[in-house]
Formats: sequence, structure tokens, C-alpha cells
Amino acid sequence: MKTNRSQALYMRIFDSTNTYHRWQSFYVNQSVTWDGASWSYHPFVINAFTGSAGAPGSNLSIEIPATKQAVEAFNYGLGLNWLCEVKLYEFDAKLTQAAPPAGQTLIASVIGEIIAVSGSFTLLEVTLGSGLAPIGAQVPPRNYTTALVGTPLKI
Amino acid sequence: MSTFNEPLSIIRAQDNLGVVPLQDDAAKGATSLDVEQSAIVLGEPIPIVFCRRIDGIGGVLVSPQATEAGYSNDPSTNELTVNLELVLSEGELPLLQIRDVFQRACRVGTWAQAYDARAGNWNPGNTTTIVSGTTPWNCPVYCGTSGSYENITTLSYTNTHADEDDTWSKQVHAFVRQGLQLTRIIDNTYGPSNNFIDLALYLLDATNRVPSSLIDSAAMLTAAQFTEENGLYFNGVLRQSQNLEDWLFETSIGFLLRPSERNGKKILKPRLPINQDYTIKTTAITPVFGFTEEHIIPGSFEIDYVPLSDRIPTCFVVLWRQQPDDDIGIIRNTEVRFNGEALFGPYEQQDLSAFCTSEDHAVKVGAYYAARRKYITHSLRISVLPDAFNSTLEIGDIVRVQLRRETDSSEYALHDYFYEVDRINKNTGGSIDLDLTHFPIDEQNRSLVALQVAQAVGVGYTMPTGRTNFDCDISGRRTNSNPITELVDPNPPAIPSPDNFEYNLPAVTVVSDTSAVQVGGQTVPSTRNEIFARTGGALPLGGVNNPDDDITEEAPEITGQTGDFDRPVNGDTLETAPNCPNGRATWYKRPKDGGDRTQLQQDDLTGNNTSTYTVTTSDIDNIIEVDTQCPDPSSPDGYGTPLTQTTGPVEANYNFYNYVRWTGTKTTPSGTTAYTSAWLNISAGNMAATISGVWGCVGNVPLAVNEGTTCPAVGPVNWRASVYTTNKNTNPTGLYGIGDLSYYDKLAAFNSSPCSSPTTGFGWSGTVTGRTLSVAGKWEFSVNGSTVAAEWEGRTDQSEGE
Repeated sequence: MKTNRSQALYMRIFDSTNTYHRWQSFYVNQSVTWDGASWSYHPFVINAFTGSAGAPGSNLSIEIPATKQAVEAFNYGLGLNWLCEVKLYEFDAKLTQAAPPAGQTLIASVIGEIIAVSGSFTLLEVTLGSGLAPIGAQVPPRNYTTALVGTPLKI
Repeated sequence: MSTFNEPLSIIRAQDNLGVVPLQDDAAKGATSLDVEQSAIVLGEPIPIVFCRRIDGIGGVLVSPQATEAGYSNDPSTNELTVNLELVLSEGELPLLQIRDVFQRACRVGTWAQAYDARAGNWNPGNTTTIVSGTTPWNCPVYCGTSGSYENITTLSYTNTHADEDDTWSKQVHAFVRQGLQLTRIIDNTYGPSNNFIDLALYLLDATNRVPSSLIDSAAMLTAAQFTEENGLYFNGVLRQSQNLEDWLFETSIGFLLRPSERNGKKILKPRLPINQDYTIKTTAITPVFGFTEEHIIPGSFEIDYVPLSDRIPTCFVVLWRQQPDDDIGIIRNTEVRFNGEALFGPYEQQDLSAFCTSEDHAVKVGAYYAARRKYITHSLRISVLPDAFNSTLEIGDIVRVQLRRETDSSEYALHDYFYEVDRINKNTGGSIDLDLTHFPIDEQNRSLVALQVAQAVGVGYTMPTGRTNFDCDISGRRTNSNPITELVDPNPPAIPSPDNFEYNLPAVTVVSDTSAVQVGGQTVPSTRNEIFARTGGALPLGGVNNPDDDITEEAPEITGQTGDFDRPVNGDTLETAPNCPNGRATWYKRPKDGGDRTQLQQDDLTGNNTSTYTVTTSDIDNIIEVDTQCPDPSSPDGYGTPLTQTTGPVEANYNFYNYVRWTGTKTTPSGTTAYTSAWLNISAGNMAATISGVWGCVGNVPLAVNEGTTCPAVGPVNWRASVYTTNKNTNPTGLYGIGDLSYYDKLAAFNSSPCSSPTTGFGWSGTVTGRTLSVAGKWEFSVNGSTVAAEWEGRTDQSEGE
């Protein structure tokens, strides 16, 4: 048995107003058209899309070369609360390898805030998730303040 | 092999299988009635009262804390009037009912309620006086100063106490039937809610940490419908400061939900299979996919059975609140066990009293715990090859694993179970790792756990509260369902401006440039100043200017170069000195285009003497290097690590000679031929020669750029001896020339055209992609016009044009 399964990754960096980058890592050194938009080549790697019904806090980790574009985009993304969406598509490799085929199947998709960026001088590791920190008090969201209740009664 | 690293037993624990509470405690929903009134302290969380009483179920008893108080007494009878300003909840609550407000267990006092303002019509303060013949009242003297109460529901309580009445300081309570109002997810209507999903969404929004685009509204609606359909309601107070993720994870099991993520979006998902009408599915389950030997990657099968200690028959004691309509509620417990099992324990307590006000709710959750404890036997981890399920399989799906175990020579066994997908890892390499929890079924493929939970209902017995005397109530109040007065204080105490309690960091000009910031061709919203302020500030001014490091040695300079651009020429005496006395200097030459270097001379110096080297014609077209070393007795040769200094390429000292000629090859479209020019007289001084670049022969002009062929610098580049051009495309048209010889006074330099009567140069027509044509050679110098005294490959770039 031989499998012709190919998988291509697409990444979109955006906020409520604009999409700043559409990147794909499958078609080397070329831009492709998919889903009504143009996706330029920018290599990046994701080990796995993990979903869990257990403890909260699962995040998606992306490794991407620290190009000028990537550093700029993820630095702005981290500071300005941009979102990032990563999609994994599967298609039959024997049909075409030159451009995204019309019938390719969405295997996994993750959308998240850019919540952490780390790495080396040449490689960034970007973490997508939510800004809901797994530790630290968050609820109830408000506390008594002087402006709200003045100097309170002392019993 | 699976990429999951955690032991499989961790997954079991995270899924609440066999996890016993570490510590039992008093019911969280219990309220102490006859205690001293409490006051708030700055920094405490503002409570959220979240409830909705429907059909006799729901509501929560709240013990509001006081923020202000007013105390006064009658100068003759010493009767004490107590006023309290109380915080009921964050947000807006409907008006309480008269029958639902208490001091201790008694319906007494005068009450008022307000939202976003101070309730009542009195001022805080202690104006009590000593009345002769009575015991003075010992009321607090720090009575509060009032505040804005923004987005807070407040209560005002007023009561009088006869002389010697020691109940004046007791806690007040309010039974809240309708709690915080919000827009309910199920009916999209503003009002109180008892749906856990509404509370979860409210908190997610209130934290301002999760954008709405990261919440799966459709999945949340399904979960809300599930809890509504199965009578799982939240009626409680959120008062304790805690982490929202933890709270969701710990509380959601009380509603048979589990927090999860779908495509990165937050969801809460029913823990049981459900029908389209959101009831618990008690019919046959159809797995979404069946994994067999065809799919499973060999060696990836990993199984973990639940240990006996976590599976022994257990009685689950579920705590909840029974809430009568006309009295203060009580804590109840219901023991949930399988018939005839664990009659005398062991017992395991599950405290739902903080939010559960229905016996059916408590019993269903207890049944869920008990059924899972009894039926679920193991967890499984497998890795599978990609297949048709790639795009559809998700958390919570039911799958079947059927494997033939052939470990016996005479018979085989089947591993054939249903599982619930707990964790899924879709590797970009294609394989998929799965953590699965046993999904027990009966012979009709029906979920055993779902069957138990669906049929679990409470007995319906109403436990007496133990109270028979309501004499302390004001007459008629026990049945008075009219709302208390809504009264915003018309003359509230003056409060300072909020500006007195804030410090706003001033805006700083990070960058003065106001142009828009572009990323990926899009304009980033907001100003450049604000964007730079949030993304690390501006770039530093100026360059890096570090102080010298006295420890680090620089290679000593080479002096004595007399040629153009500070380059050495033949006849120069170069000089250098090590950074120390008694050092060593070793001179080398290295071809200017790279390659190995050749030692020329080595000097072991005495004291601070310098080392000199005289450049010869054989050094032309090389660079000169000198290694200087200081004495090092520990080194085998007695000297330390060398410091290397270099010169520019050595050039011919054309001032020594009277004649120059060019010799080399011409590569034309027809082939390569050798050529040597006549001797040119340069004895007048200030003379130079060059080989011209590419010319367009239609207009007879030198070309700096051309679409048909590459062009070296136009120059004139003094003493350039070689030029090359490579055709960029194939085009039969065009007339070009390259490489003619010129010689001139440098004050009037020019390029000779190769288009007409060239000597070293040549002309050609048309271009052929990738073809290289050239005039490449060197200069030969002579004193007498016949004997070659020096050879030089010349210069190559425009900067050397003098």
C-alpha cells in the first residue's frame, strides 16, 4: 500500500482590521493562491496540533526562522494583541504538487493570540494560546477600591 | 511512537477518574446566621451573586458586607438606630423581596436597594450619646466615607434596638432569588441566569483576557442547552479570588461539562453523549471510527488499568442546598451508591453546595462519579496512521479499537472496546497520537455511564429546616413578596474625585515621526508613537561606542606605503614593531585574490627595534602580511600568539618606468586570441592607461547599464587591465564594443571607443544568453621600451579610478 498523502501548513497573522501576513511553508519560494488569497512562502514548523480534554492550558508552538518579516510581525503581534491562525491541509500528492488543489481537506486548525515569543538570534518559537494565564487570580474580576467604597467601615 | 510524554495515569487523573478529594471540609454553601456583622476590607474581591430561582429551585443566601454605618440613639430612651450600607453584588440585580431580607434569622428592619449608586437616605457616622442611667452603646467610630459604587448593587438597612438589645451588631442576610443580570445565551434576553455557561462567558469577558473570537459560541450554546435540559443550575456566590481556568476545570464537572478547546477556541463540552434535543443519549452509540491492525503503528499500544484502590465500590456523599420558598435554606446531602454496594463506606464527599440547589442535580452528578468509578477500567494510548478520520476526529468522539492479540499458540483474544478521545495529537508528519478513556457499554452499545446518569433522580423528600418559631419576624413579612424600596440616596455624602486615587502615567513621545506603520503592506491601526511604545520603544541613537579594552591587543600598524590609496608599491620600505620589546616580526605575501601565503622575511628583534621589509616587483598583485609576536617562555618557539596586520594589494610603481604596454587575450564571439599593444610612453609623469568598458556602437557611447549585457564600470578606471561582459538574453539586434586601450594624462582621462578602429578592444553584434566576452590581461612596464621590468594585473573597480 502506498500513500499519496501530502500536508501543507498555512499561517495567517491578523487583527480585527487587517491581515498582515499570509504564509505557507509547502510550496518553496513561490506564492500560491488558496482560499481567495495569496500565500507567500515562509518556512515554519509545527510539531503537532494537540487537543486535550484534560487540564487546561494547551498551546500551539510554531518554530519559524527569525527573518526581518517574522521578527517584526510577531513583535508587533505580541505587543498589539494580534491573532494568528494556523491551518493544516491534506491533499493527494499525485494530483499536483505545483499549486494547492481545489479539493484539499482541512485536517487541523488553530486560532490563538500570540502569547509568547522566544528563541535564538536566528530562530523564533512562537506560542499561540489565550491570554488567560494558567496561574494567578483572575475572578472575581473586580476588587474593592477607595474610589468604589471610600474608606470603609471599621468594626 | 506517540509524542505524548506524560504517563498515561496522568490523563486518568486529569479526567477525574479515581481522584479522591484530598481533604473533606464543611459545606461551602453553608451560612452562619447569628454572627457579628462583617465589614469589607479594601482589596477584597467584589462578590458576584449568580442565581435564578425557577419553579421553587434556586436562589442563594448572601451575607453582604458593610461599607458604611450610621449610629444614633434616642436621648431619653437610649433606643439605638443602626444604618448599614451593604454591597450585595457586582452588576445589577433585580429588587429583593421583603420576605427575603434578614438580620440574623429574623425578617426585620427597613431596606432599600440601588444600583450603581449609594442606597438609602442617611449619612454615615456615630452620633450616639450617653444617656443617664443606661449602658452606653459601644458602636464603631470609624463609620466609612462612601464611594461611587460603580456597577455595584447596594443595600441600605435600618433598624432600631431597644436599650440593652445586644443584637444590634449582628450580621444581615439576603436571600437572592434573581441574581446578576446579563444577556442569557439561550434566549438572548437580559435578565438573571442560573446557567453555568452564562457565568463562564461573563467571567471570560470580564477578565478582558480572552477575545470573543477565541470563544466558540456554537459549542457554548450547546453546553448551555445541555445543562438547561438536564436541570443542572448554578445558584451561588463567587467570592473567593481564584484562577479562572482552574475554577472552570474544577466547577464544570458539577455540571457534567469539561473545558476544552476546539481549533484554538475555548469550549465547554458535555461529558456524556447527547441527543439533538440535548438530552442524555441512552440509545446505541455509533463510533465515529474503528481502529484495527491496519491503522495502529506497531509498538504504539500502551494501556493503563485503573488500580483496584480507585475502583472499589464507593458511596458518594453529594452536598447540596435545599432552599424552601419561605425560609432560610439548609445544607443537605444525598448518598449515591450502587444498590447493595458500599453500604458502610467507603465514603467520598463531593461538595456541590456552593451552587447546587436541586436534589436531581446532585444525584445526577453523584451517579456520574459512581458509574465511572464502577465501569471504566482502563485508559489507552495509541498512534495511528492517517486515514479518512484525519479531518473529522476530535476531542470527545467515541471510537472503537479492535485488535487481535495472538500471543497464544492455540487461540487468540480480541481487544475490542469503545473509547472516548481524551487527547489528540495531529502530527504534521501525518501520524496521529490518541489518548483514549474506556467508554463502557452494554450489549446494545449503549453507554453505561449515560444510562445511569439519565435515569438518576432524587427521592424528592423535603427535609424540615428545624425551625418552628418565626416570632422574631416582623408580622406579615414571611409571606410578603413585594420588592423592597428602590432608593438611590438623593443626598449622598460628598466623595473625593476618583483622580485622587489614581496615577496615570503621562504619555511619552517615543517617536516624533507621525507616519503610518506598515506591516505586510497593511497600515497598522493606531499611531506610530503608540505602536512603538507597545512594541519596545525606538531604536537607540548613534552607533556603538565602547571604551578601549586595555587588555585586548590590536595588531601594530604597517607604515611606509607610498602608492595610490595607501597601497604599497615596489621599492617601498614597510615598517612595523611588535607591541612589546624583544618581539618577532614575520613578513608574508598572499595572492590578492586569496590563497596560501608565502613567508618573505623573519626578524627576531632586540629591545624596541622595528622590523622593515622592502617591497619588490615579485610582490606586485599580492597583499603583504606581517605577524608580530611577543616573547612567551611557555611557547615551544618562545613567542606568543601572533597578531596579523595586512596591507592593500601591492601595485606597480609606475613612476619608476618610462613605458607601459598591455598584453593579454581577447575573447570575442569568434574565439580567443592573444594581443600585445605597442609600448606607450609614460615618462612625462602623471600618465595612466586603461581598458574601456562596454560601448553601445549605434550611438558610440559608453554604457553604464544595458538590458542585453552586463556592463563594468564606465570609468575611466586608471590602470584597469581586464573587462568582462555576460549577455543577459538572446537578441540578434544591437551593436556593442568592449575593451579598447587608452592612455592619457590623468588630468584629462578618457575612454577610447572600441566601436571604431579598436586595438585591444573589439565590437560585436547581437547577444546570446549566458555568453561571456572579455578583454583580459595585464600591464607590462619598462624603462627602455623593450625589456619588461614589472608586470601588474591592474585595478578592477570604480573606486580605484583616482
